Amino acid sequence: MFTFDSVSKIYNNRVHALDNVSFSIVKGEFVYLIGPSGAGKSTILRLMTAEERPTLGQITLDTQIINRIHHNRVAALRRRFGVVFQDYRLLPQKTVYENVAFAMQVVESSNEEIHNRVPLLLALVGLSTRARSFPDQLSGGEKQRVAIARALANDPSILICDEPTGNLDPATSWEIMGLLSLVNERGTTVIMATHAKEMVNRMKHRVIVMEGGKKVNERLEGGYNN
Amino acid sequence: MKPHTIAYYFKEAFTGLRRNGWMMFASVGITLVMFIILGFFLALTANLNYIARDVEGKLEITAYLNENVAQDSISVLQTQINAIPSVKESVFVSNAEALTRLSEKLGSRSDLLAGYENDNPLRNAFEITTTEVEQVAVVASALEKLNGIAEVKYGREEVEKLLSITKAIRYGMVALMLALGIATLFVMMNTIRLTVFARRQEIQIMKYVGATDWFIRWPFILEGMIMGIFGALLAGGFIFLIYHYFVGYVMTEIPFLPMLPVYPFIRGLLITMVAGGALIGIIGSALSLGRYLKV
Repeated sequence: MFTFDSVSKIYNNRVHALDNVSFSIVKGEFVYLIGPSGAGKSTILRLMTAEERPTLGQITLDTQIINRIHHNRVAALRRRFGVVFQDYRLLPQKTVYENVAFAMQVVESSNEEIHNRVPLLLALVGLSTRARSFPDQLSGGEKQRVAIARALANDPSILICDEPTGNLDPATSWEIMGLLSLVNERGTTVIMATHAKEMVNRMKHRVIVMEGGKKVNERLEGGYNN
Repeated sequence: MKPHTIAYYFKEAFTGLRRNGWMMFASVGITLVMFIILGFFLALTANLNYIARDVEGKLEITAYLNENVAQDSISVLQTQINAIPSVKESVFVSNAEALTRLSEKLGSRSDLLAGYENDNPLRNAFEITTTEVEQVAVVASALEKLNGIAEVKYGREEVEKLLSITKAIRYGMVALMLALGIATLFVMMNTIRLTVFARRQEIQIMKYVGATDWFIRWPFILEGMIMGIFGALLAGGFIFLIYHYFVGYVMTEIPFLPMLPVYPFIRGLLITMVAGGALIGIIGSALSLGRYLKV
């Protein structure tokens, strides 16, 4: 259970990025965060991963109060999340396999665990045959699949996606959405910031609508405009 | 720390060094130059200290006896002298012996002293050394109070001048070494900052998947350490060759100038420099990473 309780975020330059926002997300949910650029979607995601601290209000994940988490415990918190970005953020000098393995290496998984798990993850995202390719040799959709495999490497309970289809054509976007739904079906909570209207309208999940730092609407099974 | 994690740190550190080959050369090169300068001044300070200590060790007090002191009370007087605190050693020098020494000093012109053997104008004396140079003045004034002592002489001004000079040199060298150390640190920091900058994306991803700050730091710290140690070793080798040659030269050409022997000195210098290089590398990388760990 992820809870935002009256959370506000004012940056140093006095920009009110979030203004008194409250919501909770239950384990296993698929939630869209929608709204125009600058609505506060990315700020919400950064607050979730403790990359930023709220100015006011409280953020809790299960029993842990994230806004007061000690610097030393942020790493442990992050292992509960997988993060997917619009620009993939793959390491260009590492192969597909190495990019996914890297996420496990840095949390000190054993070589055996890495050896066993990476092929399963690549199979899940449909890239078993591209393990030895470098990111430059992949299409945008394939790159995002690698990024999703990497985000799932440490078996997170929550997958945070920031505009994951923002750089992709519609057909590829649907493939990625299908993959995210599959991940969600397997029990992982998915929180996705997007402004892909058509996607939200057709693949119906819970929607939190943001505008100017405020939560303006919330629908359990909603589209973009209704 | 698991063994494969340590292996990972080293692998990453060497990858970083290889990837930024030219910067690594620049960094090791500048570290090398810094350490050569540092080593040169360390050698100079150590030798000045050595010379100073050598001269200090030779500082002695001469206590001249009254003409009328009987031969058998000389040993009583010596016991009294030896009882003064801080007296290390006292040696009786008879006036005959003093005359012989003087004629030796004059060498070929010793004929000037002809005729003095039977009417020796010199006085019997004690040559006294102290355990600490700082105690010379105290011991001298204690000697003056003894019965049978006519006059006490010692190089008061020379002692004080020497002490203040060695002190000034020591302070000056410490200040210079600090300045050079800080300069080396900045060069090192800039190099590691470039490595860190080139790998900022990796660091960011590591932070996102939950790597601890120390896990991220170690390869960079090792990288800095390796550069620092490598530069220090090269500088140490260079200084060894120069110093070895120089000591050989001094020993044959200026034999009376005391110089620190090569081996214990170089060993100490190498240990100091390698430790210094490693430390500068560690501090440099830790400082360079700071901002990039805040994700």
